[in-house]
Amino acid sequence: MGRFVARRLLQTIPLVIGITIITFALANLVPGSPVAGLELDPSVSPEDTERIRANLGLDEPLHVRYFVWISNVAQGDFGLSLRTHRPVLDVILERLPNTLLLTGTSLVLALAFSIPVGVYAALKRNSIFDQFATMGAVAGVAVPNFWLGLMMILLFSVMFREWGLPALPSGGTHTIGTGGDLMDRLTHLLMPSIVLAFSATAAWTRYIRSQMIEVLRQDYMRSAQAKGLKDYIVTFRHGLRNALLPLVTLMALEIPTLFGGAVVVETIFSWPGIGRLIITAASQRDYTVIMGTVVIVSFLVILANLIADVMYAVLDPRIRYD
Amino acid sequence: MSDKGNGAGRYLNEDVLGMSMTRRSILRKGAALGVSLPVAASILAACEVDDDDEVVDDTDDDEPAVETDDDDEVAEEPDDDDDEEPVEEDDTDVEVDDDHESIFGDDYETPQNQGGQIIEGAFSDAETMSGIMTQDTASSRIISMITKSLIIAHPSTTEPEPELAESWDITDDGLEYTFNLREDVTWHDGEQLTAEDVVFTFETHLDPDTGSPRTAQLSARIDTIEALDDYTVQFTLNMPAAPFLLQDMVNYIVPEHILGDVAPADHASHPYSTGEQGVTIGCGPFQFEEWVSGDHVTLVKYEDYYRGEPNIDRWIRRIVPDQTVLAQQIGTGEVDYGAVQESDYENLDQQEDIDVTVFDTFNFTFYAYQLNPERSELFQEPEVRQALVYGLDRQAMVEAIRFGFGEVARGSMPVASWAYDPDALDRDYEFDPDRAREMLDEAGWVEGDDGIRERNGERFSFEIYTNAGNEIREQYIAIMQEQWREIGVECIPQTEEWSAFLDRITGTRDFDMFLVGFSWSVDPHQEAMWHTDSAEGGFNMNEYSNPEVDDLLAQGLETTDQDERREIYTEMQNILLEDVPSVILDFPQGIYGVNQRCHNVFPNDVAFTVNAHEWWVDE
Repeated sequence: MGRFVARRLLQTIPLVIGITIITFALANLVPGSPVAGLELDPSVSPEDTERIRANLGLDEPLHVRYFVWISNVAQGDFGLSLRTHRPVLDVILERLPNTLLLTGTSLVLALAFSIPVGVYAALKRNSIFDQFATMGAVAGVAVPNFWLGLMMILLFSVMFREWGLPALPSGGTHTIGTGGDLMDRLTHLLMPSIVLAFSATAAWTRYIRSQMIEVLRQDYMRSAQAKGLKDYIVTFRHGLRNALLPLVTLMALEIPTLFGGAVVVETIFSWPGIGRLIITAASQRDYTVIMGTVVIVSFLVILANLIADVMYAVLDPRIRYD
Repeated sequence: MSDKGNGAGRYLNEDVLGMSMTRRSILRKGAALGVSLPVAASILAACEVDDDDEVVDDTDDDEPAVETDDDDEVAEEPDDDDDEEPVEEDDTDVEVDDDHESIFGDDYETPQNQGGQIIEGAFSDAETMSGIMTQDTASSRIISMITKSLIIAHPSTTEPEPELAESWDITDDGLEYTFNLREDVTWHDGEQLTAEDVVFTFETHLDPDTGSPRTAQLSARIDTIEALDDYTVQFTLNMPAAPFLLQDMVNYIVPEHILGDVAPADHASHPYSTGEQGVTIGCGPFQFEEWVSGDHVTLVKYEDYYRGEPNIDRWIRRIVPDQTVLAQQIGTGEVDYGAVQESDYENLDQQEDIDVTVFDTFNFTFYAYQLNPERSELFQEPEVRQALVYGLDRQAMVEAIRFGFGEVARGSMPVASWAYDPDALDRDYEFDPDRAREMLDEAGWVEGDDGIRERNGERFSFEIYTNAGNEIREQYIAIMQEQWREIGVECIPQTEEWSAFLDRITGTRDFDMFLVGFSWSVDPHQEAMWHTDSAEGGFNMNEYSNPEVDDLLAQGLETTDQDERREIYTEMQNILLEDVPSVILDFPQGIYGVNQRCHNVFPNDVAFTVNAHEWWVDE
């Protein structure tokens, strides 16, 4: 197992390098530059713009810039933001907890909802409940999160306020100007995490339902029942455990989707996380921030996949890595 | 930075104040023109800012600010404010208030309450807290609350107004400027602000390693800077430069005792610039507390501010995703004020607790003809360029696209400028399609089979570029396409993502025509757009060149008398109206929604935060 993990970790290095080459090339091939704003400012002379461009190292050829960047990163130096001149790593680490909080909450919400609903739907196959669950799941997969987010803001923030009901805040992590107590932070977290959790919940509900149905047909389930075990023990210990196993893979696969979804959700709910950081950096052509974010996020995704693989072996004794 | 900044002399006489008041109230009423089209795009967004925040920065005010007078100043009451809390209104204040003189004159309301906070909503985040580095609106807005400049532009007259400099003298040859500083100004850590800080600030700007966006202009103008004594600074210029006050002396002053030992190359990444409590200090009414990037910036009041202790305890600038959300949050009271789009005007104006203010700006929308014959032969004759202007119903455009919040441009001077003098201009391009057709016929462009004009086998057809996602500009080019088709000219709209578009107009210059918005600085010196030399890297992207205009610009630079300068610029505008290298379509207005719990908050495009210490809120 240790060798497996070590090998997988080593494999991430070429992978991350590959990702950075592609991202670096794409970001730089798009027209525009971090000093574009200066170029359109009548009070800034062309000499100043040129000098600032040179100070930022942007006058070097692309491959030179890439090698300078990658060798600094290898030494743990992600450089300074081309816009704010703050260390890229600081900027990212400042935002990362917000994104992890959001994606983590969504993950928990999705699990907390999809497991009971999926299991119950499987046990009561073709019941009214099952029909509704199926309908809800199809709708959940079909609804785009940006639309859902805007509709929720419209309803819970705007309309509720107009109707004099307690409204939810439409954005931010806490009420600005206050420290933000737990309750305040939870109300801010509610809408974005639900929106982000939505499609995963829908997909997982469907998945757990079909897995569970599959498992219920297994011989060992019949044996357990025949042994005279109580129904709930059969369902949960023998059924659910086996049905959930593939969910671990599914969750690992969902991590990149969650980060991707966070880009949209964070933008809609002005949630100061990695997603909004990368959007802003991309529109401002803040190359160092774009690259730093991509490296960190890819690393997290790769790590999540690795953990899923390891978890798999832990959960299913039949699986062995050597 | 503060381009719109500042000014000179004490023009603050009764007349001016009276005038400004009337203008403001007229503007407020005049704002009752809202229509409703599903358009979007605020003035900011529309004009320069555009989608992503990059922008030309100067959009709105940034300004250094502060109010007026010195005398009465509430400023000094050394008394109580030692204890840090927001002391509830001390009596001194109340007494002084009776003869408190505000730069906004009679609009000023005596505070009924102390404490509380005001939240500004905006959709682009700051980039720096350094007054040296700033070039974007967002940063300048915040910095203008934290620190001050020697002079500012008066919010209504746009003329130079004293700020840190109480008064100044200019020698007759226009080469020596001597500023007398106020002696009651302290930095947020209690240190005295002196002439050395001023000298240090400009030397930092002049050092190319700093990376200041103003190094080239300042180096071209400034020969030496000298502190004659603790409170007197003298600038010697290389050449007379009339815009020196409004363009260069509005730069924010930074503390030497904090930054003196910092290598210029490290300035941008120093905690002073990236925001750190206790390090990012200024001499303005509010002190830096925190900057959570992408989320908000918080400032707290500075009790010993030289114009008097601010009324509110805290000012917060909150980032929201876009203009629509901003309007919504102004409506719900989540933010207290912010810029809104024309299309949100009516909705907000109907809300009882929101005041919507409309004001003139320095923004403009224009399109440029490709004048370089190697790139396009179409627009070589002035008659053809003029004909196209006659073919445009600009008034209808302002009504339809901007909901009437703007003024059709006559000449190149924005409505808010002191140099705006439309009646002195010879030409007024009123919509006249028949005349347009006639002029095109005369130029040899005759209608072909498909209704599009031709000359020597060439169709009168070209592409116009603007940046995608800016709905206002997209509508402009769509309407232009329609209106020009009426006179037999084919114009094909093209849009590109902002950075790509910028690269096209400033870099490759591969265009027949483009349309963009932009903002002038407060000083009317428009060299960047019209001077031959500005074709190289400047804002003269279509390579216009007329020696007469160059001459007039040179004269304008050397003439310090305001009336003479206005005449010079009028003459220049008349030549431009004849040549029409680029066509300024209109001067859009700014619209701000302000919650009525806020008082003394007077949105304008020149010096919005000038009286931030006078702002107060109900509680």
